Amino acid sequence: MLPFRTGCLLPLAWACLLLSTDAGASDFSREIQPLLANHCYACHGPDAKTRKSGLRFDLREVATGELESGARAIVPGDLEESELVRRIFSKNPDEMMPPPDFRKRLSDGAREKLAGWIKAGANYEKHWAFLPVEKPAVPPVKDGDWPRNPIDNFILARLEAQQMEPSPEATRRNLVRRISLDLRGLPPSLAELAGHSTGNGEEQFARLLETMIDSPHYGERMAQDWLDLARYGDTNGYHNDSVRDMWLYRDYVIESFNRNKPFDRFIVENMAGDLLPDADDATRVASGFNRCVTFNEEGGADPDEFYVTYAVDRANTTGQVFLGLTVGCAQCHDHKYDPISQKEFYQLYAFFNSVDGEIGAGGRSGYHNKPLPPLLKVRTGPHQQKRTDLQARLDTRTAELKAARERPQFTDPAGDLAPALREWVTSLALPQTGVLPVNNGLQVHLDAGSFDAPGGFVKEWPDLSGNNRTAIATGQPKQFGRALNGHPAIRLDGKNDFLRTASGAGQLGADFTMVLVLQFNDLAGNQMALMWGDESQGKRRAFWKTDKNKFSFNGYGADMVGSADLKRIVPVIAIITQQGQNNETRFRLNGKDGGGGGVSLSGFQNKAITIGANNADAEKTAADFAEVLVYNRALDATEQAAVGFHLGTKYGIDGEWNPAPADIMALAAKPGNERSKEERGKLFSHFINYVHQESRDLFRELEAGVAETRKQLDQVDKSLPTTMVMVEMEKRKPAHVLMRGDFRQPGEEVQPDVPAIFPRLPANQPRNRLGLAYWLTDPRHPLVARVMVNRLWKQLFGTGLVKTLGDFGTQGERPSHPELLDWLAADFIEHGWNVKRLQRLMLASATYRQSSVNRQRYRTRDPGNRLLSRAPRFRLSAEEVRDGALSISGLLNPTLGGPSVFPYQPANYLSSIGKGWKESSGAALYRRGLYTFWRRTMLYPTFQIFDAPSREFCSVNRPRTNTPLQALVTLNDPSFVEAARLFGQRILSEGGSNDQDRLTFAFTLATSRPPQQTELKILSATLTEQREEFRAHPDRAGQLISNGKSTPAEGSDPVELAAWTAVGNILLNLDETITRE
Amino acid sequence: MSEYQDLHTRRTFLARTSCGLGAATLAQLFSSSNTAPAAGLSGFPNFTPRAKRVIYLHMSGGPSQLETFDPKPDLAKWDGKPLPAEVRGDQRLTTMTSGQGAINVMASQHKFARHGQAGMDMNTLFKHMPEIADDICLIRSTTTDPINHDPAVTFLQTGSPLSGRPSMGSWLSYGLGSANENLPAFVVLLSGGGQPVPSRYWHNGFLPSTHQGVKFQSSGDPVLFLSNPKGMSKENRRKTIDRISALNQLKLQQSGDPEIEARIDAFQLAYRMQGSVPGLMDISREPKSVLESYGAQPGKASFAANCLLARRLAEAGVRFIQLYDRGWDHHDGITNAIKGKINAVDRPTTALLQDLKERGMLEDTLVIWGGEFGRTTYAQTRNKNFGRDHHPRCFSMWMAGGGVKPGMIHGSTCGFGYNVAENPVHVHDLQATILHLLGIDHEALTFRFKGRDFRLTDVHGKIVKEILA
Repeated sequence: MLPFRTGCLLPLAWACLLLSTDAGASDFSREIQPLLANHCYACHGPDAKTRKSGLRFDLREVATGELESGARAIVPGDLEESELVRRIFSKNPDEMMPPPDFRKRLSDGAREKLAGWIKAGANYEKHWAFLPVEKPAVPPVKDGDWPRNPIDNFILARLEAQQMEPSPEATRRNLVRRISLDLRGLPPSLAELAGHSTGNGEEQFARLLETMIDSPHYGERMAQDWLDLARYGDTNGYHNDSVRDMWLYRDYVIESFNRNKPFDRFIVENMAGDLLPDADDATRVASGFNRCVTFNEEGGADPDEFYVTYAVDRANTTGQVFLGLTVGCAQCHDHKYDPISQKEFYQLYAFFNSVDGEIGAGGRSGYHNKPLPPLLKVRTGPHQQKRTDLQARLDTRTAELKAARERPQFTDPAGDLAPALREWVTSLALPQTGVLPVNNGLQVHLDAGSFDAPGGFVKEWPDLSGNNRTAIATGQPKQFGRALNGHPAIRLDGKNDFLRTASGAGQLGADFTMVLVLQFNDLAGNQMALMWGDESQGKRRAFWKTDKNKFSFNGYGADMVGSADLKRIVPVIAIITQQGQNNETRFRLNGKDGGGGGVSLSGFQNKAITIGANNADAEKTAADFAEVLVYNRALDATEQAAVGFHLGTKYGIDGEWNPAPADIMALAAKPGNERSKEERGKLFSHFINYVHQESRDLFRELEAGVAETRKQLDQVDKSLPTTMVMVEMEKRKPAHVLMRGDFRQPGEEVQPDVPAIFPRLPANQPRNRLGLAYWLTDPRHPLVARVMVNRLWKQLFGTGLVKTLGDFGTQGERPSHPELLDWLAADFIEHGWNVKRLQRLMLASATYRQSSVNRQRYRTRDPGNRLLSRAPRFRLSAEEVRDGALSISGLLNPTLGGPSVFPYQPANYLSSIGKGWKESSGAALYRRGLYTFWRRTMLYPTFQIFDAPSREFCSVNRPRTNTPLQALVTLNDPSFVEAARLFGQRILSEGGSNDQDRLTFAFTLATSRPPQQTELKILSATLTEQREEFRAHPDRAGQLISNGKSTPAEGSDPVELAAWTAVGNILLNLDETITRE
Repeated sequence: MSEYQDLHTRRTFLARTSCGLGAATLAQLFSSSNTAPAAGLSGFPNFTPRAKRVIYLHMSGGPSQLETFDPKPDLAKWDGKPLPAEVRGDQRLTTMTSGQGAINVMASQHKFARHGQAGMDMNTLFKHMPEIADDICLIRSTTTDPINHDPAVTFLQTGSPLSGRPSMGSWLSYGLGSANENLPAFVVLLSGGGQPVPSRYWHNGFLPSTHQGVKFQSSGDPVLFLSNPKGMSKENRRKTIDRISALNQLKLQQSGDPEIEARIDAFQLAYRMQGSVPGLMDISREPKSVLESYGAQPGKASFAANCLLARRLAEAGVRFIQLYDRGWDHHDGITNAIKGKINAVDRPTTALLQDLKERGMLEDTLVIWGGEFGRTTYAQTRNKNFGRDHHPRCFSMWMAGGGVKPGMIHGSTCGFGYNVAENPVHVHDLQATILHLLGIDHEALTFRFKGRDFRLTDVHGKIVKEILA
């Protein structure tokens, strides 16, 4: 490429051409700036890295100044001296601009425009969207009768300039439907339709507006669009796509719109609700806006990489949602078209990379299916209610317990219970009798000292329980007279020996107690001391010494290990109790608690008890057994202590089995007259709490009730929904420019700041998200209010005044009515960012109230209706198509808020991502669409087919397509088929008594207008046809009305209901039913 | 998503046709000669295409080049020894192996044999693929950027590792239109189990959503909600759709909204699809010999069945047929696991190529085989049951038919199978080449979104001229 140089004469051919140019007519920002941006900026624009020859056309002083080569690209007013002119008209491939290999050629017209602009002085002006908003004057119009408010002046002035006329006002019925759909996303009810359609007066219109805008469904409709922007979803959006709890944020958005929260406040809460001086749960939930980013939980993902990705996403989303700018283009290099440098991008990013506790990526750090910090637990309404109820119950139960404990007979040692107390104390003081103290429920009692085995060889071990359950020996167990602390015991060799009672010996159910007095002679490996059942019967290892010398109780799929240690040739008294099927099993060793757990014991009644080794399991026991007791109930602590004390005394085994604690025993041993008042009180207290059955049982029951309620209360607190929120690190994490956007290539460190093209951050606010939020909502900000009112306009008029909702930059489309946009933005700010007020203004305008009929004469003149000579007509959103069907059929469950729901979805739809769909039941199947579980990697298919975004990232505008896949949804999706049947049912019950009335009723419900005669004729023919169909095929009738989870109304005639179901199906599929017009 | 299209002017992949409804046969509906191709962008294709359609066999998870097409016998000497630092260079590891300490080389436990005129090495587990060695062009030097599945597949399909851009099939649908208005231009079929395959991989991004890939389900309705509800007979559905159309027609006259006309068409075509798609997806009508050659069983979802379906869809005029076969992510036990996967794809892939060839379709059908990345030379777990981690630096893919030179090997890797030694083919180059074979200049197929002209190859991509026939 040749360098720029001066002094060339203009070729004659185009010099002549230029003479005809209407010099100076071009509007810089409308015509010139886009040409420069499209054709020149790539090498001569804001991006310093790709800039050639030091020339940039986005700044006038550079474009008109002297270049490195000495040439000047633009010499205002002088075509011959302007190198740009020479180059764009040059045919020399080495000189021509744009160069031959650049794809975007300049047209002849464009060349002329550029030359004309230079000739006229090459005036630059700042891009319209970066200029401050100034409220323009309301333009005058010729037809002064038409405008209802200033909006109409702006619209009509443009129409009049084009010699076009606005459309007549739509019928009132049409307006009722339109406003209902626009503000609530639902068609009007018949009552609303009737109530608001009478009369054409302004008073009625105002009432209509208020009814609709005050409906709680207004917030739902408004939230739907905001949630697309906020990229709200119920899953993480990458790879395994785990579930997250975020619905509190969704509900916050609904509520904010319903309360008509000033929009600047809404922005501040979204952007920095956690940092507000008056932050509360609601504003912290709002800060979740910046946590709606996706999360990568893939195994190998690099946390550092994705931590950066999320902050980048926040910066991009901030640009898209609030500034209407594509700031993300500056992530890897300076923005090619808008004045945002790469450094400025990372200054914006620096507001968002200090999230305290945020995790970059899951996988290795175990973040599959886990809540992603930082989180907030929130006490919602229903939880609060549950908590209040439980607290009341807890208070009652605590009071009952207190009252019971305060009963006179339980408080006065000298009262009614004095004789019983005395008896007990006396019993404690008496020496033990040597008789087994607990016999109730005793099933087996084997005592090695109760018989003499001939020659010491045990063939059978007689049972003392009176139940005749003698244990028969296998192998050669031997009786030794002084084996266990000098007491008789049966020795098993650890190889072949064991003893087994007859089947049926146990009679054990859910509750039992087993007591063993034994010592292990060898501690090698696992040894089974007691087994319940045998190999052929199935078995439980009732008392099993593990190779770690712990206890175990185990069986099929159940295992429980106690913690006390066993030693060789040291006798122990082991007590195992089990209470309740599959419930609490506990070990006690020498009276000391050895732990426990739950073991399933179903099907183990009437099995044999085996002592010692078991051939099949090779877990033989090398031990001396002195005594074995089996009870068919769980002995309570006192009984266990009594048995333990008895056995301990008998065998000289120390343990913690006193019938009462040592201090109580000591008191009992004292002569009565030597006990102090306190000591008497202590004895009495122990007595009524642990010994006296009436008081003991009463207290235990009441205490259990208190504990249970407390547990429920804990569970409610634990089950509080969490939501992802922003929490700022105490010390900000440094931010760097990332070269080429690569997290591994940090460049210069940057501080949080906003692009230089805008006003500065407020000096009196912190330099964090809060400061950024106040900056966004500063009335002097040139973009935020414009971007917001443009979105509100789009919601009611189908297209934004700036059609490119997310791009107000130089590459975006210019506003169709720039003055109106500014007027609305200024008005919005003036009135405190009042959303409903602005919407009322738009809705009340004559522009809004026009008919949507597409008049032939303007179809080619303004096919996109950008001049608004009529109201737009467009298909409803994915959620509204579904909501409409549910609402018309009467199926809709109008509940507001709460966790997301799972309506019908085709089986296996999620198999490609290895997920299931836990279908909701009952009324939860019929909630509004915005509550449908938003799975980001595989969106609910009906919504995907109707153009809803996945919300993996901010989405500023949904397309509206029209496809056969959509037809298949409304015809066949089970939700719609079920709605058709409910619709049919509703027609039969509410629609009048004859076919004509019913058809009119049905058509009106679906379209909000009565059918015309031609339509009624078609509907009548349809009904006849369907009756014939189902009369001829009653089986089909039965099938058709059984689609869906709900059941047909009792007593309905299947043929008649099926015919009306088919009619309902047809009506739900009409273009008009799923269209707002 | 896009802000730039008119709200009401878009047409579906099934735009209006004359409705000879009810009796149309599969052949009538789906032979590409029956209906005029839906227009793509004007000026596209930019030049005479070599391929009219693509069948892309994506091996999801990342097959190991060292266990398939790129043997490194010299690695035996290095087995169990640390990978030399200079081989690895500054390569990042995934967090799955970055913490394991030693990075030791593991030689492949498999035998290889050479086939065809080019002496193409294949694992001897491939029993059938050697038959097509002279039809395929093996690229051993493919290279990509992302190191994890989700971003890597997204990158391969859309040119960006982050979600939001259109996938390759959507670009083709947008640029070239549909070859048969009665079917989507872009169809997706899935087999196997393993890594998640989300709908993002066939998403239209910012392109009009009519260009979105349509996943044909292997169980239930092949197209969602294709079946009438129980009790609604085919004949009665015909009647109800006629009534809907009649009422819509009245509304059209009254409102003048052309969108209603499109809706009337959409309903008619939905009805036609109900009649014909199940037949198209029913492979039981194929001759036994064909079923056997693929190893496909009617009614049983498999990669083999999908290969056969791919051929049927190709015949019917679908432009981009994307198969995903899952289960190639062999972090451990690779020696055995690769056997199972090779067995599953070997015969059907071979049969597909041979079938296309016999029908004269291979010359204008581009078939692509490969994963989102390769696998490391070093072992992920250091024992007999070793596996390999993700490896973006080099991996093997192959292409066949549609203007690609048959029976050749392009590019090579170093002795460790770790770095590209010559002729690297970056994913963007691959994308540029695929578009080129379809007659598209990859720099010219752009879409303006958020003020910028986007394209599949971002700002990169060189056509791999050496492999063009």
